[in-house]
Amino acid sequence: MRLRFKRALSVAVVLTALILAPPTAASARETIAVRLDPVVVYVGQHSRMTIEVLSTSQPVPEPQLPQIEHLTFRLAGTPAQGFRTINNYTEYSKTFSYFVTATEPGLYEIYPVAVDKNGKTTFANKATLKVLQPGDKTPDYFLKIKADKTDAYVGEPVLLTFQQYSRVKPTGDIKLDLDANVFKGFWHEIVPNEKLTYRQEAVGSAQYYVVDIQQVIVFPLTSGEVTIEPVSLDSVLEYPRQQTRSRRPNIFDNFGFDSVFGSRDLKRVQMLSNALKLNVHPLPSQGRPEDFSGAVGLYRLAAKVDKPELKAGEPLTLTVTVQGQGNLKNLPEPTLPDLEGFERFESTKKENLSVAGGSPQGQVSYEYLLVPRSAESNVIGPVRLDYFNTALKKYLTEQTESIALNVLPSERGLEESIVIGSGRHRREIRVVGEDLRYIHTERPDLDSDRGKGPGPVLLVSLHVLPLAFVGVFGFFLWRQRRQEADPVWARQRQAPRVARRALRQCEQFLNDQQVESFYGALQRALMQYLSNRSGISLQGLQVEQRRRILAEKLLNEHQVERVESLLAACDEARFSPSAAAAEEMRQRLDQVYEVFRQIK
Amino acid sequence: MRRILTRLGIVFLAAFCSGLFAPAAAQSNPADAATLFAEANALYQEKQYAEAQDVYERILSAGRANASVYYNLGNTHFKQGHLGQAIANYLRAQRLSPRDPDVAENLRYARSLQVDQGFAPPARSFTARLLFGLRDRYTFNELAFTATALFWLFCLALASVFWKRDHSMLRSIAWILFFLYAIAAGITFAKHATLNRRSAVVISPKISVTSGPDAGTELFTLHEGTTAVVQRDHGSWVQITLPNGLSGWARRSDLEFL
Repeated sequence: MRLRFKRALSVAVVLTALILAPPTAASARETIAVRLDPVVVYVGQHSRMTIEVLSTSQPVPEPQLPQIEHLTFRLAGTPAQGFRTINNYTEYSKTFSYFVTATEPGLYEIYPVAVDKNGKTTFANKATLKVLQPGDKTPDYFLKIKADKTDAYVGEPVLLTFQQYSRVKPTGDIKLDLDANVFKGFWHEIVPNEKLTYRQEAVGSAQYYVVDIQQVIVFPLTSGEVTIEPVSLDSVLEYPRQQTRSRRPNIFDNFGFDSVFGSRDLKRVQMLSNALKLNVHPLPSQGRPEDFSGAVGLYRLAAKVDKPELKAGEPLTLTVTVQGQGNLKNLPEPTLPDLEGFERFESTKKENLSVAGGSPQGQVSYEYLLVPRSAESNVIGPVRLDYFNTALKKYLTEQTESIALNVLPSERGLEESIVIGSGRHRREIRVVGEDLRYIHTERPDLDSDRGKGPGPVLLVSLHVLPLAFVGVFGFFLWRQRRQEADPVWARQRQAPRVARRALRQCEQFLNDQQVESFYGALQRALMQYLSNRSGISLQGLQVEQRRRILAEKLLNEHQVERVESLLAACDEARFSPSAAAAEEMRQRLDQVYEVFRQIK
Repeated sequence: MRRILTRLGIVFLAAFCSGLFAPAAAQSNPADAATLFAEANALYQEKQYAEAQDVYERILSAGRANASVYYNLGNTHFKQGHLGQAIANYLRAQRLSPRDPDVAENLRYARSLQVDQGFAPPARSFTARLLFGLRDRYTFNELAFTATALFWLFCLALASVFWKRDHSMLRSIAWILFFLYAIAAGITFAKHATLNRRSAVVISPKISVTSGPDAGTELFTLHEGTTAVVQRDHGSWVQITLPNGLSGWARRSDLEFL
């Protein structure tokens, strides 16, 4: 019993110590791991070796690689660094990548790979690389660059095909890394991809699935041995799943449903292609035309104008078309004939290019605007293109026929050369002297500003003024004609004016204290006003009639009485003037004013 | 009260004087402008076109806009190879002096050298050509004066019709004058609209006209010297319309506005 207790106690103490021990103490060391992918390669083919070094402190040491005969290591890129912290425990990592290449077939153990830190050496696991002689037993998968030719001239198109070979079925998940450095020394054009399909192909005794991943057309820029650098590829392959338990064959397996039912494993693999060497020959100097500007390929040339008949000075468009196979995108412009008799403007370029049968082809058109200066400019000479024919391996000259023009004469002559535009649009034209007329030298009228017209206010005023004149003129004309046609209306309209005049006279008599004259004038003014307003003559205004008219047309009964009493008072005052005083005269005058206002 | 009136008088006098003399202060002396004009002509004769252009532009910046100055400036641009600026200045000269044969001829010649020749407006009827011809042949002042004179004559005839009521001939004359006045006024308004329409000339050798400002799809290309009507602005871009109705956006820096 005691023994059992002691044993349990010791186990508990050990476990507690293990749990409570500081993690740094337990992991204060470096670890190093080596991985190869792929593990089977051909001679000359690369395998990527990844070495991951983990350390609890900085700096993370670099690995030391072994010297192994027939094997070379080449650092691939800058090491990747990182760190992670778990429960206050920090671990630093550094991952180194190398390309491993073997010059002889065999089985290579890459060992020892080690790191040294603080006098302590830590060794990595063994990694084994199997290197096969081409034609030997083949690897599970590899990437291959195929060229349609390995000998080419400078500028001659070479079609490269990047092919994935795998013993198991490929998937569509493929990522090719085409770095710009891969095609150093070439001008390249990537052929647009169609849908990826695979086919089966035998390599030695093994059967492979082959996928043409990408096609690229390269045009060597320099001569000599030029290398297409290896490219890497990430691909997902379908591997058969390892059976853990015996399974009876399924009827669906025969129809390819095994992957659907989960009997396949998808595995992401990385491949590195071979490097491809091309022998690029310089273009021969023998037979090279003087105007040769570097066109290489197979070309045909054509030229046409849009209007063969025109007048001197009118523009025409010369279209030169180059059709064929080659680097049409960078094709130098064809050589135009001597266009001395023409104004020549900048050209425009149109392309219609494609890739068919692995060869770049199509046509490029150049349009030139030309203006014949005179009727003598009636021929456009042959257009030429000197190029190196890759099929015949010699220089050829394509040349168009001369184009005859019917240029009608013009009276223009030649003056001096001027330059239109600048930079690449700069072009020289001949100015026709009689057409560009000379400057004005006589002193212009710089005092007046003829650009400004009359303002809207002035224009409206100039229209309103005659309209107003016509309106006023028409009004007076109408009134005159009305007066002539209707005397009663005229007297009615004149009544106030006549009355005002008569009352002014009364005021004068009042001031002069001429009593008799005052009352006489006052009575006349009143009677005249009533006559004018009623349209009845003075003689017709007898007492009865006057009362009736006043009552009907002008005043109420009370007012009529006032008028009558006023007239009677005037009568009385005229015939007994001594009785009238100045105040009374003023009162009578005011009463007449009041009557006028009432009648108005 | 008297003091207020005095102050008002001073203010009015000052305003009147400033109004009277302000334009003279802003503009250069006509004699100076004439001297500059002669100097620029001498430089042109010596084939110093850039220097001549500079002097002509100084005359214009001094407020002395004149058809001859614009015409000569157009010639200096042409001689330097600036086809677009040459056409722009010939057009400005033509606005001020539409019947100047030199301006018309140089403008025709410059336009014959421009690349874009296919943007002609649609064909017009005889009447339209006659009316547009009258519009283009005369200045706005001339047309406005003619329309005003016709209106005065019409008013006179109308007054005569009022005076002689039953005079049928006078009435016919009044109608004819009113008809002529309506045509003249219409042409004057059309001229005014043309002068106020914003036009621009392409001054870059070749420009892309896009479907919208900044990152539009390229619709077509234009070359130096092509004239277009400006519809609207958007930052450093303007919408232009060609005489045949094609429309798109172009960079402001590629154009010279009239």
